[in-house]
Amino acid sequence: MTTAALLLVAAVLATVTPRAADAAWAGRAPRLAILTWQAATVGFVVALVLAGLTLMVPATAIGGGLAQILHACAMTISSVYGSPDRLPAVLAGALLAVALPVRLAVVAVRTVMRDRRARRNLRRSIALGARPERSLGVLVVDSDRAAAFCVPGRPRAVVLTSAALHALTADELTGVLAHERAHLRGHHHIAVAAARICERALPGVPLLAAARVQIERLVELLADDAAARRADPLSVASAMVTLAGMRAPGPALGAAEGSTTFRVTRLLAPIPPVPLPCRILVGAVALATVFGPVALAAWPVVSAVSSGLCVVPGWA
Amino acid sequence: MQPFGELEAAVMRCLWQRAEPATVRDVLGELTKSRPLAYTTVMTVLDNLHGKGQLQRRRRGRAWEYTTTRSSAQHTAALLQQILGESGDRDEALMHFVADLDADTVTRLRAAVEAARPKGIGA
Repeated sequence: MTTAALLLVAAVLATVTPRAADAAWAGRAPRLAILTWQAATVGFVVALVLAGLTLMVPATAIGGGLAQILHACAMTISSVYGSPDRLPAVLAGALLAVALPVRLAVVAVRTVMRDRRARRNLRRSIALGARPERSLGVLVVDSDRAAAFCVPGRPRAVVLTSAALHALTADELTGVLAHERAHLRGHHHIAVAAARICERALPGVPLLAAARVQIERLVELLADDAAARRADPLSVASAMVTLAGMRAPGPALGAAEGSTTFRVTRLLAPIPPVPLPCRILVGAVALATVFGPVALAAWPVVSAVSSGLCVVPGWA
Repeated sequence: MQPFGELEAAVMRCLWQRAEPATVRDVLGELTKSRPLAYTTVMTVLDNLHGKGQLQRRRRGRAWEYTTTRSSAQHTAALLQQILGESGDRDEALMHFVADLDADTVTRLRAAVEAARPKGIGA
């Protein structure tokens, strides 16, 4: 019963949430939107893991503390050997409760190591060809192609090409630098990496694919907002068009196209922020997504204890 | 383009700064100013870089003389080419300010930006 409910929660989160991807409020409150995607991801994983646990250990055993869980575990194992019809359920439980977290951890370690190696190589290559521009706190690479980017991690760096430096006005430059520094200061790469890890570990889940795409897009909006506060929105939009216009006329990705158009339009016609009551509502929904599955899994135990049927030592 | 190792990078920087052919001993003399290195270490690094096509060499007396195949500027240009054109590992390692756009989109967005500019300030 509990297992079915938890699996239902996971299924709903996995398939229904991606439809909210284009919600208009997300562009007006990017930080809240990122938190919501993260909450949905955590809720999904927690629901699956808990569903696995309830398959492995009968819920009635959880109220009695560790000793009873271990006892129930032993009983479950021995009953599986006794009656083979429990075996599929326990195997499915182990898959969700053990194999899933292990897979996430393995993919996480592999991704983090690879990113660190790639960044180390990148920093070394850049250091070889760049000169520090101390007044701006950036590294300048001599090139007739315009580009601006940041390399997160330690030591972090903002890199500009000499062409970009010449093409930008003072206000535009302030905007570009504020944008890149917002990425670095906010550790946006960690949010993006976490979303990529989840998608890679569980490919084919619509929620995780959508969360990765949206978080990548939303951190840009977050950095744009920081830049617009530092310079002015028009300069940031103008800088974006200037640099995009000087980039190689190669084939652009359709998604990048749409998201840049969205970023420029959003800066040109500032939209009012989401009102507080709506923010609170969304935040509450996000919290419920994370803690809902936990409450669902704990419900049989809580109800038994609160109704006085069971007495738990130390629970007044 | 393979990224340089730390020592390889130091050797390349040294050769670019010299701008004239250098023997193992020349490079060693330059590099040991900042750290202790063995002659054979430097020789191996130069040999590897030659193997990777980064250095050319010719005999002069009993020693090899090395020069870089590409100038520092050419190297940087190639690096940037790779960073801007790349998708994959390296692309995940950094965050671009703006993605590539086609010319039509740039024109359209430029027009939108100019239209939003207060009169009398912008172009």
